[in-house]
Amino acid sequence: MAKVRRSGGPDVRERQQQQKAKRGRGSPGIFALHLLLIVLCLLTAFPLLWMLSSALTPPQDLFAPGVRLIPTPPTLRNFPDAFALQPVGTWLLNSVVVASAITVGKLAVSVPAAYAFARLRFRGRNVLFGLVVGTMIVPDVITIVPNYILIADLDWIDTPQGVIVPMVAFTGFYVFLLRQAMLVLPQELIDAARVDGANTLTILWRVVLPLVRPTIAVVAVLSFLSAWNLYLWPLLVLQDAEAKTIAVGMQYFVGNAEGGQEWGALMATAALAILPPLLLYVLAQKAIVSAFVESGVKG
Amino acid sequence: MNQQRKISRRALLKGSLAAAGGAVLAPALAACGGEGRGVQDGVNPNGKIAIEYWIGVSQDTTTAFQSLIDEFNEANPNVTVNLKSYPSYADVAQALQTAAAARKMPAVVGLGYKELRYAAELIPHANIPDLPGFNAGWLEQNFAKAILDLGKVNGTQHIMPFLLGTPYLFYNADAFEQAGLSGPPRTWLELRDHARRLTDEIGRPSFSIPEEGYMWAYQSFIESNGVRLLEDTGSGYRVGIDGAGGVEALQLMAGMILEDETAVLVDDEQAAQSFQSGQLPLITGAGATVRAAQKQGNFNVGSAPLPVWEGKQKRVPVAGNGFFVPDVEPERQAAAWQMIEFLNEPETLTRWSEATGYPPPRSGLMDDPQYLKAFFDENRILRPELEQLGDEAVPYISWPGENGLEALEVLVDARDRIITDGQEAAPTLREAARRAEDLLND
Amino acid sequence: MVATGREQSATPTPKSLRQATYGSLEALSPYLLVLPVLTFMGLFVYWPLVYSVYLSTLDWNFVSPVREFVGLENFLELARDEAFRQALFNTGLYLIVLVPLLVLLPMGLALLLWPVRRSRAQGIYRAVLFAPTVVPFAVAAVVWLWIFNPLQGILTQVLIAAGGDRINWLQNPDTAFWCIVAVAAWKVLGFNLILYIAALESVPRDYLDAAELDGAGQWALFRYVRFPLITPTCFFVLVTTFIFISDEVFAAINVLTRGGPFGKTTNLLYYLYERGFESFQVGTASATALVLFAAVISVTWLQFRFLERSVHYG
Repeated sequence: MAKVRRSGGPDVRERQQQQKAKRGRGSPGIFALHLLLIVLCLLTAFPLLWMLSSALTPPQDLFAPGVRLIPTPPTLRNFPDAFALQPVGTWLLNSVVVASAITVGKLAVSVPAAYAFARLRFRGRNVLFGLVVGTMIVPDVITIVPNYILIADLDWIDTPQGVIVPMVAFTGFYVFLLRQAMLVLPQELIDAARVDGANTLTILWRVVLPLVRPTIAVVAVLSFLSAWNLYLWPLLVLQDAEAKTIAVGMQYFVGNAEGGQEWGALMATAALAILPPLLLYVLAQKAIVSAFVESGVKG
Repeated sequence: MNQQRKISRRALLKGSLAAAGGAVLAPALAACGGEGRGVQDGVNPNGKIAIEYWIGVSQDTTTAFQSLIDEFNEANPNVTVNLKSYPSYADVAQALQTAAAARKMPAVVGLGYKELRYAAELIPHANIPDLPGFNAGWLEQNFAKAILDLGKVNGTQHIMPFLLGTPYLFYNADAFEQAGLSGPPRTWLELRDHARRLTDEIGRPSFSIPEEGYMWAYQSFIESNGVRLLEDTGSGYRVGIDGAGGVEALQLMAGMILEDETAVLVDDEQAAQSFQSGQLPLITGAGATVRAAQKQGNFNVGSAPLPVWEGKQKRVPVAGNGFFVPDVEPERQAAAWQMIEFLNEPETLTRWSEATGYPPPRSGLMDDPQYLKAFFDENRILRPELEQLGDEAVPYISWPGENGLEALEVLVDARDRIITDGQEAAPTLREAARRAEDLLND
Repeated sequence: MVATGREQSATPTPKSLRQATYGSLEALSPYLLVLPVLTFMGLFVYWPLVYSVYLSTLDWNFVSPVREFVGLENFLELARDEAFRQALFNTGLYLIVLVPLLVLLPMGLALLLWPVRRSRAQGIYRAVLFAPTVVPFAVAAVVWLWIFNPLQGILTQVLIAAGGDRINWLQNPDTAFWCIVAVAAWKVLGFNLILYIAALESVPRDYLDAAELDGAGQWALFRYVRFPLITPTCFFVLVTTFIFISDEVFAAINVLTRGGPFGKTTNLLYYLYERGFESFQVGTASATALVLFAAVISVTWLQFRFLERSVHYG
């Protein structure tokens, strides 16, 4: 609690300042707050900025003494280098395929279940819901040995479905989010549809889905991001160079005990790997917050 | 073989009962399926054979392999070799493990010597002398015993050595000059003095044996002081790192890192990068690093053999990889051997060494004016590696059994306790050696 | 998890004959709707847990046709293994350090961001602070390696410019653990921050206004109005952080330290990975998975048992 109080402290002051700020903008308190936040943001962003700048730095300057965030002159050379050395384009494509398929799969199984848990009454509902959200506390690494054996036995090593199918199961959080969104829909709408003779599927498709579209969008973005970032599972399942996703393909540039690293190409590939998720997030961030606000994340 | 896999899949899904049934059925089914199994996988009806060759080496080395394989494919219309590249030897081993479980192994693998014992014990394979087309006379005539030994366990040739790499010293000759040093250190004690003077000059640590989770140059550093990391006594494994030589070596390194602050522990990539950019004047490493540094040309690059301990026999572990042929159809094994022979032709090996800087596994080429003499005369920087491949060369330890890696980890942990935390060398090593022995002899 | 909101009845009273003919199908439909998700979870989450029990009794390496049954030997081996004990201990240590850090720090940040919520800059702050969450760890770690580099890393350069000593962050047994903590925190913080921002925004304006009219100070506003209303979020963050950090800490260990120096940074997940996929010991890896699962279950249960009571559901 001490921590809360400490961080609550400045807040109190800042808020008092803010009252004043309403009358006169740019008071010193607000200024100090901005300054603090800017420093925090710079610290947080530094590793990413450094990476982006490295991607634009000629490889021989990368490790020269001193720290420069702005390469002089910047170069795009690392990008064609990366594509020439390794199938970076294929990796990006694989990442898109894997992340999209996992997202679609998670939505396809989560939305109907969330609806049933939110709006229908049936025997065993609480137990089944418990089983679904219970998966939230199972770290996926725990299941990795049996799932690896299963995938190997299915002959799915080096295939996209080998990565995709098991990962669809880790969707407890999204069922939970969607259910929260569906809980607060007005019952009258559903009743009205039912009076018109609509069955459950029609109601879900015609009435409920359009109403929770923002939450679905958020679930899609979040699951795409987490699938894009998957590391350990694709590392095990995708062994062939052509089958890798971008996050694991990068190992090829790091080299091994034999030496011969390609840092310029590595940094360029890294930049390519982080840009899609960053862009997606920037586009979706408002929606994410408001979806959390609306669904009121509750235990 | 596919039958067997289906059985085991069912076993997985339906539990141990089916597994018991599968164990009974599998040999019978495998016996029935013997004929014609090659047709579906690798051998075309027109007699052309396609095989896969898996490697896990750096980008430059992969490129060199690829161009040799292209030559082979052109010269041998009956065989097509597809080179498949993995990021490291460990990745190759893991992929091979999966492939073995699924009975879909490639015809030939560039297996790290480190993985020798593991693969010899666990992966169904053909020993080199059992390969179709194998020629014992050719092998003995052209390859030194010390080289062939790198691929042997208890006298059996499981791997045919190809890529050979020893750790050696690289130094920044400009930094040496500024510090008033005339040349590379000859002994490890001299190296400590050199590092002191370099650090005085540049104001930061000046030396690194860049190893974290394994021991390569460390194997030389420790074993050259009269101890053995691993010995097979016949009745069990003995770990001798806690001998006086081992204690002395690690005390020296602890002194350099913790007292002198002249040495620093970082991983290979970072050490190589710091060396190439001129930040770290003295490191141990593999040939690729020194060539990269020379290519970048930030400073004059020097190289030297690893130092010795005064009055003791130096030992240098040879790392790298060689050909390992899994248990696949004889036609594919024959094709694999055809490729192995081609890659070991003097002309091919000449192109191999010129492209990669690695010494050729075949005897006599290095000093032959027809082949590699000119190249190694020109690239004197690579010479120390050739020198170390003589009497000093020993196999890079392949840790045996399913606890092998754990045993190595115990020793690496003990090393790190001493050199990063200043714990007392003798008791730490003694305890670690016994624990490693327990694991190995379990 | 407590069900919130109104309980709805799908068909409170039979409405018409036409609907009754759908009765049997309609009665089944909830089960059909939850069947897909339960099938996936059954196959790839719950069945693996059960199958792990079987695997944990074996001495097997993925390849050998012989799967030797060894009973509880793998568990006994874990109990004897010092590296396992260290991994277990570190797992606890990571939790003790990271959970409070990642539950409380983002809350403080969210409150800091509150006064400037109308400013255009706030969107930028939010985006930047969240950014690490969306970046693949394997990618970010490459950069972190160079930040911690003892020779020319930025951290070292800053420290030495400030007159400090050179520290080999990732190799020093006193600092390596904290490097992993810092990197994992950097990665997870943004996600929790967004959850808190959402929670603060959902606190009804009238509550705050009413309290302010009563003359409540800012601290009282937080303590008696905001905090109680966001306790469900705190609890949610607590439970999910517990899970997230196990994944993120694993990734950080894997790329930055590989568990070293001498096991100082390893945890149970990394131990499991080494056993399963470096030494190919299916049995001990599965036994580790079960121990880990038992630990997760009991800690989660404790959280519900002792903390949920103080959670205020609005």
